[in-house]
Amino acid sequence: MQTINEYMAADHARCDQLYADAEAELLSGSFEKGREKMLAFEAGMRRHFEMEEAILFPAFEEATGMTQGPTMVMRAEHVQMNGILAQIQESLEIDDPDTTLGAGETLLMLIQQHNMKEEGMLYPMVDQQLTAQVPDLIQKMDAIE
Amino acid sequence: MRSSGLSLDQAPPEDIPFRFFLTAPVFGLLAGSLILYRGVLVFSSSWHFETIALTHLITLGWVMMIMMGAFYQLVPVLAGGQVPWIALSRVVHFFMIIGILALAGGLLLISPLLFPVAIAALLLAFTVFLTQLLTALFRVKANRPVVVAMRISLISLALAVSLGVLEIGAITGLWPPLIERSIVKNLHVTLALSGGIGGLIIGVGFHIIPMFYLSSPFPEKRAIWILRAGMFSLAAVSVMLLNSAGSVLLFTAMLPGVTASIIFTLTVWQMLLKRKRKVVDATLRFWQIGLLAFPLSLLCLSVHLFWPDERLTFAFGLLFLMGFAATITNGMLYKIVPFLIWFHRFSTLVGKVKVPLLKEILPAKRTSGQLLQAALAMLTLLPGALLQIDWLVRAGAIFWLTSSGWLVLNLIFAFRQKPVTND
Ligand code: HEM
Repeated sequence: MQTINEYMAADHARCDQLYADAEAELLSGSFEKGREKMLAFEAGMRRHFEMEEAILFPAFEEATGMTQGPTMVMRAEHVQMNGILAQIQESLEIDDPDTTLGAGETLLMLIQQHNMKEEGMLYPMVDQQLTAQVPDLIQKMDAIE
Repeated sequence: MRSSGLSLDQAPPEDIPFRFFLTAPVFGLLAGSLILYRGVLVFSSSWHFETIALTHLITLGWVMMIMMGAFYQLVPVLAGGQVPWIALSRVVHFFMIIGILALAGGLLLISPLLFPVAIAALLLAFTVFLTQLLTALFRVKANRPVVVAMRISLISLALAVSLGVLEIGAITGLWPPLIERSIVKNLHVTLALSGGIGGLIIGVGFHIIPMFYLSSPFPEKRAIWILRAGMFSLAAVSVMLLNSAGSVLLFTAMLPGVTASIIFTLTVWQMLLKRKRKVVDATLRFWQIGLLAFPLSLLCLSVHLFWPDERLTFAFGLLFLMGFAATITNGMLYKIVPFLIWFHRFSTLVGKVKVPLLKEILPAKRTSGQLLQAALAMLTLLPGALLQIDWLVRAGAIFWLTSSGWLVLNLIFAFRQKPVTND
């Protein structure tokens, strides 16, 4: 049976790949393709946030009663990441690949340390505390567009 | 409070890692000045007081400084444990500086009064540091490879420091020697370098490489195998040294650890080559230089066992300490420092005011320039020490001084970035 940690880590890796592809396009100078891929990355990120904020975090908070704990910190970091995503979008609109890349790099560092904490602590806790609900949670997250 | 490991927001106050990080290249400047002043003489015998002083300006002054700052910063993220009594870290930093200056000063000026100061200060600093970190790491239940590697590193350091203190007391006549000087020295060096420094760099490398360069993860089974082989060799070599074993036995004891180190190097190299992100930045080059110097240093060490020419010891020391340890820690600063500044000072302002990007906190031009100086220092010091050419050694010292000074300036540049308060 797939664990939450495996399932979510795979989605992290998928978003990483989307970012790397977009960055490679922008670096090679093809701005149009880069923009397209960057938008795909953005969509991937937003979907991941929604999986967590609409399904995973509430389930965890309900089961453990911890609303001011780890999920609160993770939500706050999502807000920060959304802020930089907005900056990326803006730079894409005004055709400013340098800023896109710089903001992307900043975002990536934030994402990586965020993921490290989720994969090292939060997801294992979910797997442990909500074992019985895992298949159902995965199914619900899979259904998100 | 109730359950450690649950809170995800346990980063230490920013001044704690920063004070350690900024001190490192300042000791780099002292080390470079010593090489420039004495030239090839510092590479004439590893028993010279000057050489021991130089070694510790680099090992304690540079490498340990960054390692300590990194431990305080990374343990909460990588291991998920809270470091207790975090404010005491400032005391650790203060006594490290006093201790290193007294140790190097005592050795250089042959000033007996300084040794008790050095011993007291270093023992105090390391005791507090090791107690904090071992408490944090043994509270964590997870036995992830990085946690195991960090424990190996800390325990090796505890033993190495005890032996170092024993030795300095014996050499300076504070107390009679317990065992033969060369045995203590070899044990001290083995534990400090392979366990202490090697353990931490390898353990952190398991995670940092995939995280910073978007590579595939380090295979977990292989990581565990590497750590086991390393531990085995560390123990076996220690036993051999205590029994004054011959070269063949020593080499046999070393072999699993050397093999594991090479496997680590090849794996990381491969991960870097196949990384998803194609950008090349200075930190990547720092890692690559370090990964080249590491196996080369082990080669020098192995050859030295059968062909005991002192120059090979210097080649080993230079490759391991400057080429591997100082280089990789240098590169890591360039990843960690801009991010910490951003995280502590700007992350909560995102969307409210315009915040700088990482590349604005520390521009690439600044880091690649320093990288070049560091590489040139290695390329001149190494042949200078091997062929015993004085002017080459002094030229290397100048590159090294430039590199250290540049790193100081780069770090200060980054620390100066503050939010503009005109809301
Ligand atoms: C903190 C207390 C320490 C003290 C008091 C100390 C003391 C000493 C002494 C007295 C020697 C010379 C041995 C001899 O010639 O008989 C020595 C050698 C050495 N130590 Fe330390 N040490 C300390 C920590 C460390 C650490 C943490 C490292 C590395 C991470 C280290 C690395 C080395 C190396 C590489 C040598 C051999 C270099 C040479 O002989 O020139 N030491 N140490």
